[in-house]
Amino acid sequence: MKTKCLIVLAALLLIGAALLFYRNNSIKEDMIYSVSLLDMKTQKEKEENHFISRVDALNQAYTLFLEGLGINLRSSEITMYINLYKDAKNKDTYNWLVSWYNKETMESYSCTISASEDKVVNLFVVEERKLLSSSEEHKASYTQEEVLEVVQNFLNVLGKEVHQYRVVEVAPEYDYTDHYKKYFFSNEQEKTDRFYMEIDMNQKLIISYEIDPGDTK
Amino acid sequence: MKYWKKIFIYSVVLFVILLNLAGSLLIEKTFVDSRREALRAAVNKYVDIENNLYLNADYLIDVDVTNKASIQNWSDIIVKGYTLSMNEDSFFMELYTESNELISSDLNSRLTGSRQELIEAKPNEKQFIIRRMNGKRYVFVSSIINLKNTNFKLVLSKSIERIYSDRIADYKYFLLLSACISGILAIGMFVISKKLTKPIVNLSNISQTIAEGNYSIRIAESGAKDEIGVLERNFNGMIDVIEQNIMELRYHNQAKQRFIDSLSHEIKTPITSIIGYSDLLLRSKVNEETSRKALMYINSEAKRLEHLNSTLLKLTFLREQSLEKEIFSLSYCLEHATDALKYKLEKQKIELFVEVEEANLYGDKHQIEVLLINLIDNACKASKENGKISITGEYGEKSRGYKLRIQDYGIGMPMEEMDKILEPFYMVDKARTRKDNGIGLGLAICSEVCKNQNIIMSFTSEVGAGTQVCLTFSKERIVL
Repeated sequence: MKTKCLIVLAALLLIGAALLFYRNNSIKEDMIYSVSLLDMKTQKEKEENHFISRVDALNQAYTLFLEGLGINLRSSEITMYINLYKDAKNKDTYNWLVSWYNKETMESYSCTISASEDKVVNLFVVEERKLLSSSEEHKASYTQEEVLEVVQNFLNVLGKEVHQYRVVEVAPEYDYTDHYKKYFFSNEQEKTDRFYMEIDMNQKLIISYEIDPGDTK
Repeated sequence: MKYWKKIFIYSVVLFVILLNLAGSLLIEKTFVDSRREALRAAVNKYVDIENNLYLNADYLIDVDVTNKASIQNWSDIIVKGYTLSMNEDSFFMELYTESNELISSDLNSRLTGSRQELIEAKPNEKQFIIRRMNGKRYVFVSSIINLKNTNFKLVLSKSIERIYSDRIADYKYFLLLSACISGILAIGMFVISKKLTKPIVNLSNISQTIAEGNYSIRIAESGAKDEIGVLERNFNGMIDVIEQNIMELRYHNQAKQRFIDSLSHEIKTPITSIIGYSDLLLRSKVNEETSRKALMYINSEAKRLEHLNSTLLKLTFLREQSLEKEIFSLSYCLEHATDALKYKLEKQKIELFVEVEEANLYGDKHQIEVLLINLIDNACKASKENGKISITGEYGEKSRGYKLRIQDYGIGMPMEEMDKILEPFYMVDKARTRKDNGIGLGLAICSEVCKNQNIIMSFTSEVGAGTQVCLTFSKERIVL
């Protein structure tokens, strides 16, 4: 009899616990709830987002090309496209992709600006490559000062202090046929501030700028 | 209720309760999680659309936001264009003015009934509600958004009926599964409980038979090393001991009864003779010769009674006497015993052959002498005239004890009598024993001495060939 009572008691306790669990976790129909009930931690952060508008992104890109690289893209011969997309790696991040195309010179330019974080994610200049002539000798390496001198103006436009960066050359993935060099820049004072730049050291031209993907949230 | 039924019912009921409880909890947990994920997905989608509206708000520069038609045109470009791409996810979007006038909607049919999510929409706080619509459950997410300083109400809806129908399907499947598993378990538990309790049932049946007085029955041991196997072995061991004790009790009872019968007989016979002859002398005038003969019989039978009494006292004395232990020579005791019987041996012309290894024993010398005298006297009684008795003694090889053998070549004893010869008053050949003035207590006295002195006494005998008595003295009794 005692065993039977214990079994019944245990069963009732379990059923009671299950009902309690169910009641606490139940969302009833026809009742309005705040989304905070869903325990979405990023919700507040999202609500506080201040996005960069299309116009602001476009102006920022024009300024960067003009003042940073000396390339004026406000020309009737150049076609401009702007597109909004979500970052593939981080779904909460929106990016403005601005691209230009010159039909005559077949040159193209692009710049991606994070709408959420107000920063330049990447920049590419696609122009005809100046290959090394037979008489030119390939220069194996350049000093940090030489590299920083080339990028100083560009970084200033981005609001970065040149002297804060340490520059490391990235081993090329192909044989040298031009003066293109790829460098890795890391801010010694702010570890998350890291980016790659590809530079034509012969013409002192910046070919690409790309923040370290590890920096992308 | 039988024990196997208890095991069966308790285990099956408990299992069914726990299985169904666990299954229900699991299904409910899955349902709650799925619904939460669906709600989160709806809210995320809402945030995504809201962000897109904010990011595309600059297109409103040339749009009159106060004009419903202008806004509708804008929403056709931005909102509808955007939401068309998400139709695969079954999300629907509606845009309302702050006064709840519909601007744009991609819902196929207009919603009826109370629009609580629309009426209670708040700026900067997203809310959700689950409502039934056309027999299906939908989640609605809503809030007030501000575009170009104008408030709009944005509502996103998504059908979550699939989650509820999945829950019902899960319950149906689980009930079927539960019924099947419970059925299999019930069959399994029926077999297991029957098998587990079978040895207990056997034990119960066997114990019932034993309680009815049949002590020879035993349980067939399974040989298992579990508790049941141990119980079976212990049970059989216990019955062995009980049976042995009962047999011993029966034997002792029979022996006591025989003792009483024999004692009664041994006393009654001389008393009858005494009474008869004394009556004869008292009641009738008899001549002197008859009178003398009668008195001789009375005297003889009285002496016999006195002998019986003194021998019984000796037996009792032996049982209660405290031993006077000392070291003595076995040869000396043997010599003393043969001297005491010298006259009898010579009278019967019996040749006594003695060949014993010298041994010093520790014990009661007088009791050993009584033992030897009784055994040699018995050998004399069993031997014919001109017979032979041999006494040999030697140390045993393995036990390192000492064995003394007294062998006669007389009449011998039948095998079936051997187990009773140590009982008091037991006589193999009563007529011959009485003729020799024996009363059947000699071997009973020997048996008591052997018990006191820790001597093993064994007999081997063959009718017509003689009897051998072997006394084995334990090594603890031998002084080297």
